[in-house]
Order: sequence, then C-alpha cells, then structure tokens
Amino acid sequence: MRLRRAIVIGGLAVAAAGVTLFAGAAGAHGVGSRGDLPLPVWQVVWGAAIAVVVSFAALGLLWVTPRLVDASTGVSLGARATRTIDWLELATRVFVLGASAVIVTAAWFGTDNAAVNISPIAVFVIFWVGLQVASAVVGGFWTRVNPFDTIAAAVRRERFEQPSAVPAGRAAPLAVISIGAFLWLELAYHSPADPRVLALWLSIHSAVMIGGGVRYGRDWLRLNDGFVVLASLLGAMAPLYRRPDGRVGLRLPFTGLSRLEPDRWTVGFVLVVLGSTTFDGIEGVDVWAEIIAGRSGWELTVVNTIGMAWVVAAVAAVYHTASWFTARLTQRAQPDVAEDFVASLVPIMFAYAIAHYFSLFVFEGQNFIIQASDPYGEGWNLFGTQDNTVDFLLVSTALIAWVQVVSIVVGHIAGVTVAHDRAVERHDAALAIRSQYPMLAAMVAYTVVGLLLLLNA
Amino acid sequence: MKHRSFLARLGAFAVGIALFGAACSSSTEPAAVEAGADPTATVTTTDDTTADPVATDGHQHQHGEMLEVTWSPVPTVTLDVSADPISGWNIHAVPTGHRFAPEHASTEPIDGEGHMHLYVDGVKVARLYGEWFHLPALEPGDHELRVELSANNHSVLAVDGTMIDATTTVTETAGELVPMDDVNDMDDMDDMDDMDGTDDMGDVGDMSATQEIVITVAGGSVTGGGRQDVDLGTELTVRVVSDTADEVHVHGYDLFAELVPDMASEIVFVAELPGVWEIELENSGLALAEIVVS
Repeated sequence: MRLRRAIVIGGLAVAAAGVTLFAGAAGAHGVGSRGDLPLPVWQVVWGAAIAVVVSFAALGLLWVTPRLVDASTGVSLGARATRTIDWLELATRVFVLGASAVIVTAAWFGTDNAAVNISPIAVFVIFWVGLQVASAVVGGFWTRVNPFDTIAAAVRRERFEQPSAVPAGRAAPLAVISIGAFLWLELAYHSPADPRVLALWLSIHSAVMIGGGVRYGRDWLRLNDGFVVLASLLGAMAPLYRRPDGRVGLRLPFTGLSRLEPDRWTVGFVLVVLGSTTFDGIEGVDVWAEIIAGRSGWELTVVNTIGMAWVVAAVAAVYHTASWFTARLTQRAQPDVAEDFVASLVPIMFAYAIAHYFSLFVFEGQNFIIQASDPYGEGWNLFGTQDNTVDFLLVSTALIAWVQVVSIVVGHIAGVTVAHDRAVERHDAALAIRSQYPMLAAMVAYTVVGLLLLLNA
Repeated sequence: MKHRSFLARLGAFAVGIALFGAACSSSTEPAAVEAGADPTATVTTTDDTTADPVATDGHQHQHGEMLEVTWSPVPTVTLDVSADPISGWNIHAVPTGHRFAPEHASTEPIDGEGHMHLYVDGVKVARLYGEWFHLPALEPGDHELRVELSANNHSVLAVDGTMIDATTTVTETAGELVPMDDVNDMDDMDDMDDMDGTDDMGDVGDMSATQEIVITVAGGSVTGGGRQDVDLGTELTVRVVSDTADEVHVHGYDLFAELVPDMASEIVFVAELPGVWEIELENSGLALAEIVVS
C-alpha cells in the first residue's frame, strides 16, 4: 500500500515537473517551417483526466483472463482479398525500389538547396511518418516491400513471398543503432535537411542493410533494419495482418500487440524511439530554446545530442523503474518484466508520433507533391504540380489539436489495456492488478508529459 | 539459375547507372535557386564579365584608361539589385578575384585588388569599397545600373579589351514603398517585372488590427525577438535592423527582405496562416523570433 502511494506520488511529481518545465511547443524535426499551436489548457486537462480515470477503471472493470490473444485471430478475408493485397504489395515493392533510387540520387546529385531538393521531405515526412501510419494499418507491409528485401531477394534468387522465421517484435542491437542514428540525424544534428548529409546517411544505411541482407539472408533484415523492426512493432496494432496461412486477415486494432514476442533489444528500441519523440517535443519548449539560443553548427549538435541522450535516459529510467517495482511485486526478474510489458508502450510510441507529426505530414506533404514534379531541381514539371503552393489552411488548427489529444489518449488506453491483458495472462487476478500499478504510473507519466509538451503555459 | 542471378544484378546495375546519369545531368542548377532569390528585384540582370562588343564600345569612351588583366584568377563581378522596402535600391555587387583595397585607392595598381565603380544610366555615382551599397530612390522609369571593377588607379579592369562589369536594369515606380508581400513564392520570380508598386495594405481594410515587431541584431545577439502572440488577421509589420548584411525570412508566409547593415528593413503582411512560424536570418540561420498566429 505504501509502495503504491509512493508510486502515485512519484508519477504526480513527474507531471508537476513537466508543468513547470514545459511551456510552448514548436517542434524542430528535420524539416518543416510550421509549428503547431499550443493546445488549449482545457483540452489537455480533459485528456489527462480521461487517461488517468480510464487507467484505474481498467484495473477493476477489465477482464480477468487474457482475451487479446484470442481476439487477435480475427477473420480471414479469403483468397481473393489476399491476391489483391499481394498484387498491391508487389506494385508497392517496385514503386518503393524506384522511389528510393530517385531519392538517394537526388540527395547526392540534385540541388543542394534543402528547400528544393526532394530528399529531406521524402525522408523525414513522407517516409518516416508515412511508414508509421501505414504500418499501423497494414501490419508488417514494410517487411515485404522494403528496398533492401527486394535487392536481397533478387541477388539471392529467392521468391519475394517468403515466410519469416523471425517472431514479431524481435530486434537485434543493430536495429537500435540504425533507428538511433536516424533519429539523431533528424533531431540532434544541426543541419538534418542538408541533402548531401542525408545522402551520406542514406548510403551508409543502405550499404549496411543490403550487405547484411545479401550475406545473411532476408530474416537478418527483419532483426537489424530499424525501420523494419519499427514497422513490425507498429504492425502488431494493425487491423489488417497476415495470418499464419499467408492469407490476409482483419482483426480489432491493437489486439495483435498481445502476440508480440519482444526481447531485451526490443525494449531498448522502443525506449529510444519514444524518448526521441519526447525530445522532439522538448525541442519546442522555452527552457530548451534558451539552452540552445545562439548555438549553431557542431556546437548545437553536441548540445542536442546530450539533451536527446538525457531524455531517452529519463524515459527509459521511468520504464525500468516501473518494471523493477512490478518485478519485485511478482517475484520475477526485472528484464523479463520489461520485455513482457514493452508491447504496451508501442501504442504510446505511435500516439506520440501522430501527435507530433500529423500536421507536418499534412502540410509538408504538400511540398512533397510539388517537389515530386522536379526531384532533381532541373526545372521539370513531371506531374504538373510544380506551381502548386502549400495550403496551410488545409486542416484547421482545431482539428490538429483534436488529433493530438485524441491520439495520445487513445494510445494510452490501448497501452493500459494491453498491459492489463499481459498481466492477467501471467498472474492470477489479484496479483495481476497489483503488479500493474507501477506500469500504470509509468504510462500516466508518459501520457501527461506527452500532453504537457503540447500545452502552452 | 546462375545466369538469372547475373541478370538480376545486371538489371539493378543498369538502373543504377541510368539514374546516376540522370542525376549527374542535373548538376547544373537553376540560377534562381542558387542566388537565393531576391524576390524584390524588378530586374533583368546580365552578368557579363566578358561583355558583348556593343556594350564594350559604349563603355570604352566613358573612361579613358583600361587595365588588361594579366594575372589569374581573372576577376569577375556579379550584380544583384533589390528594391529597398522603404526607399531606393540595395545594390549587391560581388567581385571574385578582386580584393577591396580602399587603403590603396588612387595609388599604383596591384594585381587582384582595387575597388568598383557604380554607374547609373552611364553616370558614375559612387566608388564602392564593399559588396553592399544603398542607392537612393531614382526618377520613376527604367534605369541602367552598372558596376565595373577598377584598379587602385581607377583604370577599369579588362580582359581582351572587354571591361569586367555587370549591368542590371531597374524600374523605379512612383510609390515609395515596394511591397515585399506581393511575393509569396520563389517560383514567382519570373513575374517580378510586373510589380506595379501598389501596396497590399488595401486588402486589409482599415478596421484590421495592426501589430509591429521590431528586432535588432547586433553582434549576433537578438533583441526584440522571442515568441510573439499575433491574432489571426492582424496586419503585422516586422522591422529588422542588423549590423550584418543578410536576408530576413518569415517562414510559411515565405516573405523575404534584404538586410543592409544598419538599415531598417520592413516586411508588412496580414497574419492569416495559423500556426507557429519562425522568423530568421536566411544566410546565417540566426533565429530572430517566433510568431504564434492564432
């Protein structure tokens, strides 16, 4: 009982620290000129209140025997739908390969004007945000269409459709390193949109992944390419998924999270992504603006890197502390608990991404449509879109605010539900509920901080 | 089986080569992009370091001495002129291979140094010891601005008898204020010639609220910036004075104004795009302010 109180107080303290620290929000994520307006206070308060109430209600009201694994079986959509999706995936595979080649060559040889070259927005907006959204709808599609898989399959003379021996949710150390490198470039490096810098990163990442995929096989990519790992984690939330028989199935969103089989590197992976997105939010607050004021070049990079490392460490510390408490309550090893519950962070991680990148996608995505007509800055007008301008009134600020709050609250509820299901799977009802308090506190802390980062004081 | 793998590799290689080729041919970039665009200039520029013979003839009897360049690199000059937001013209003449040497002016020529002369409609109006110069407002109508490289002794530098200079035509309009906010997009640069000098303030209506942000940049530090709340629909004036030459950029609205050291530049626009927008110095990347438009 005393423990529980301590944890609740701890969570509130984190939240209070958040209130005093974070004021204002305008991201600085790779590209983009627009920052989102601060959320209205009432929206944040309501969002946080709903998240907290639902969390505790879930403990008492939710099922006491695990249900998500069964629910995640869903229904098969049959052979015809599967064939259609297969064709779509093949078309996407060809398109992705071609588009990747255009983007890499544009980054190397196109204009070095970051506002004109297509590669910054293609990578930081269309790919990075689009990959996450698409993965959350069509589970694991990136595993089957990513260009490295295509190249590896071609070189190894393998069929494109190939069953994977890698359980969903596994990660290798290189996956953490590769996603960390990308996030560092996006959020910490001082000139992320410089096409040549982007070209260098794209080439290194591609070389490593193609080399590994060709040498060690395509399952190697499923463990080592950070983007494939991320797509497969988010794909566990997707309503559309691949059933064991290869057919396409439809299931309730989020239920697939119960089937993830994470290992310790998955934990690191999720915490790095979650922490980095949090840092992206912190980059917009006044306190941080004062820290980096007047800094530029590599000095800025160093300060950003330290800041990013701190935030990732803080996010990780919250999670590991919570799992340590849960481990003590349930007399298990802390790393096992951390692995067990990391699936419940996936929807929160996704919600953070949506909250931070929705408007970026909507607005800067329009720039992509413009740039697609002239990817090399040659004065072409392939699709007749070159003279378009970005419509910054395409979606209202009210809609953006609602998307932000609703995504964070829904992500939180999904996370709590998955954690609850996992807990009752592991333990009898009474212990399961007690074991969840620390995790709940951690999730409430993430959600409240996530909301506060969107709030203007 | 073996040869299929080879074919696959060959195919990938061929695609790569084709794309590489396409990309390489793209290395000549549009000048507009490089020049970063001076959205205000009402200008047709001919940067003729190796000028056409007609112009040369015309120039030759305006001055006596020419000095043939015997050293390398052969100097060049480019000329970029933009309308000052308040009045007159900001002239940006950039020589290469030609050091400004005011300390040696009117002495013996030294290879690779000297100054420049500015001519308006064939009349010498100034000696330039730096890249930037503010030219007061001219009579309404078209004017030819010309900058030539000059040796210390005021001889005009020439290559094969052709003087090294750059010429631009500007159109002075009747109004004093040339609106920066006519220009929303770098792509509009081609349309610059029809700028008619009418300002945008008519669109706003007299009832609109107005707001002014005054920013001073000195020694790399910014005063008057920071985060500023602006109501949607306000007519906003952003006035910037800096001790460095640069360009002010209001993001999103994509408005630009050239900055001449210690001269105020103004951007006037209606804040009609909600969101948080950065105002920064385009070349140095220094953040000046953020406007929170809501």
